Amino acid sequence: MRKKCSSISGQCHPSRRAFKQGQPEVCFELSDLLAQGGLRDVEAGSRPSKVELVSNGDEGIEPAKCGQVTHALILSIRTDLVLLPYRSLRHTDSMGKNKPPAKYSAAGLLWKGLRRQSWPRVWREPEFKSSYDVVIIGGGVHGLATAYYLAANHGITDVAVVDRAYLGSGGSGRNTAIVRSNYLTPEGVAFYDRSLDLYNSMSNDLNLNVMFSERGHLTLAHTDSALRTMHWRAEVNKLQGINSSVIDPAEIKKLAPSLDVSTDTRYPIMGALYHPPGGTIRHDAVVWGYARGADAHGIDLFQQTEVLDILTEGDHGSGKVTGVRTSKGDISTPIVVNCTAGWASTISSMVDVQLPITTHPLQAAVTEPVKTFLPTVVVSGSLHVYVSQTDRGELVFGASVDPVATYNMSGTLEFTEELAGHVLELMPGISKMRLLRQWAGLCDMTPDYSPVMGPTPVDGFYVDVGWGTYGFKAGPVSGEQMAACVANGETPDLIKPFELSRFTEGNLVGEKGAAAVGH
Amino acid sequence: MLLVPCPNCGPRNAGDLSYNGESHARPDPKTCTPEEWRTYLYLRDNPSGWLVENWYCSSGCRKHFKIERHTLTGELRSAILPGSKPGLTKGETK
Repeated sequence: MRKKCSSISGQCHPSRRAFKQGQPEVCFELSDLLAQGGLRDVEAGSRPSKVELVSNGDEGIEPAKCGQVTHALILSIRTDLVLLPYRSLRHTDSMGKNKPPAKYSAAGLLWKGLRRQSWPRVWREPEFKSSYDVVIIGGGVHGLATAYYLAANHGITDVAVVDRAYLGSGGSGRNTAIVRSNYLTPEGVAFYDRSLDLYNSMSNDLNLNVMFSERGHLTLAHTDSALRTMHWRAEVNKLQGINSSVIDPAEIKKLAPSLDVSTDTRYPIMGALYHPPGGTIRHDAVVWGYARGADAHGIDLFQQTEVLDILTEGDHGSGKVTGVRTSKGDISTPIVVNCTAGWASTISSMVDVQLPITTHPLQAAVTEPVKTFLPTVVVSGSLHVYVSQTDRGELVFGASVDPVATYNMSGTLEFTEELAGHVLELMPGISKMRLLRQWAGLCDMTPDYSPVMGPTPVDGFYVDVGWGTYGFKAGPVSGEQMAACVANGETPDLIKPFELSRFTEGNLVGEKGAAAVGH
Repeated sequence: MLLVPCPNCGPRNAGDLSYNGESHARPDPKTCTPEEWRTYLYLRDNPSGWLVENWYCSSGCRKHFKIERHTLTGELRSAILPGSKPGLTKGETK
């Protein structure tokens, strides 16, 4: 009996480690067991929250009693009982390396729904290893996409993604979920257009509905100079095959009837850059999709694991990465990728790499849900606001970054006040709507509003930072390109213009003209 | 809300002042290399902690001064006018 127990304790599920320590009971995720068929005898309809297993010789597991139906998925098993067939409890069988995750489909949904089965865990809680080929710091869209493409495109699966909090807890879950590719510089347009391509096929690629809504993107111009920049952007975009054009107020009114296009306002709308391929995506789904895809390829995702130091050998600022010290222990690795956005400088300072970045919070807010009335994304640079309506009917507002650099994400009253005023100048009809909540995310602003990607003077230390307010739009492509950069050891052409060395060489890529709002 | 203690005007809302970012010593433009100059122009420490930074009291006394601020907690430690120690060179502010 003891032997059988110890063979289970050898499995990789962390909760099963309790066996080793001789604790009286050990917990399993019920969903794991259901997925494994290890609990075939539990009546699916009863959805037991707690099942106590009793010995049934070598026949298998049999539930003795089912507790109350709650949402909990914990199964408690007394260790002095036989746990058979233990092979079916093996965690690695279903979630091992290089196996696609359980396929989501309409038929599967119906099947599970009819049988009232629960779904398996979407990603593992992996065992902490002391060595990886690549460690990616930051479990947001960028970090997870880099991990996913390292495995999917380059076959590098010995990768760990570490995040101080939970996956998608930073900018990936705080942005306003707008995507577009109507940038100002040819480098920027090519880059973000590739990102939009990847977003377009993402639901299929990741087998997860990211709810991409290609609803069109309007950038309003309130002054002659703004209109000139819109024409400039439209021409750059058209040259590179991007659907983007300048439209007049009458057309704007047709696209978004709630906008006040009259000429007697403080900031009359003189025209807009219309970009039909732009739209919104559910940002959490993007994070989950990449996390699930990366996990299925065998990549280990560690949440609540803070990086305390990066270990190097050689001189400061030009040595070689040898490992990462985390709150869970040391990992030895030759390659570290910094995907920490707002916190990028704090990670880079561990290896004495100075970045051209200042961290500013950007605040956003959301209203109560109402019926759909705003069919496009509307952005106004002069009024420092962008707004879109979610599928639930809430209006999501974003603004420009706060002027003072800080890591503090608390909201301010000034923001709410200014935002409300500016939104009402655009859409006077929504004055009775109530704001539900506001939040902030940290933006890693660079002097030229373009990112910093690729290698650094420290061998093995890569950065994918400096995203400022464009990070979410660029998530997929930066993951793809960073993966290529890490795997091949040379910077791909698409991100060559964004190398860190451009700042000391003086080759900046000025993208401020394409900023949604004046910062 | 951040209250910034202007050495002349006393505590004022940050919105009344201009924030000019981290304070670094400017290299001598006559002798420094282009790389040194660009490093001064673009690269930042951006710590999550104490930071000496430049402010301009744009709607008050119109003086440039430095303060020491904690970038995570918003706590302020000291405000220094140019001329007093440790001195603010002329080109260091805008």
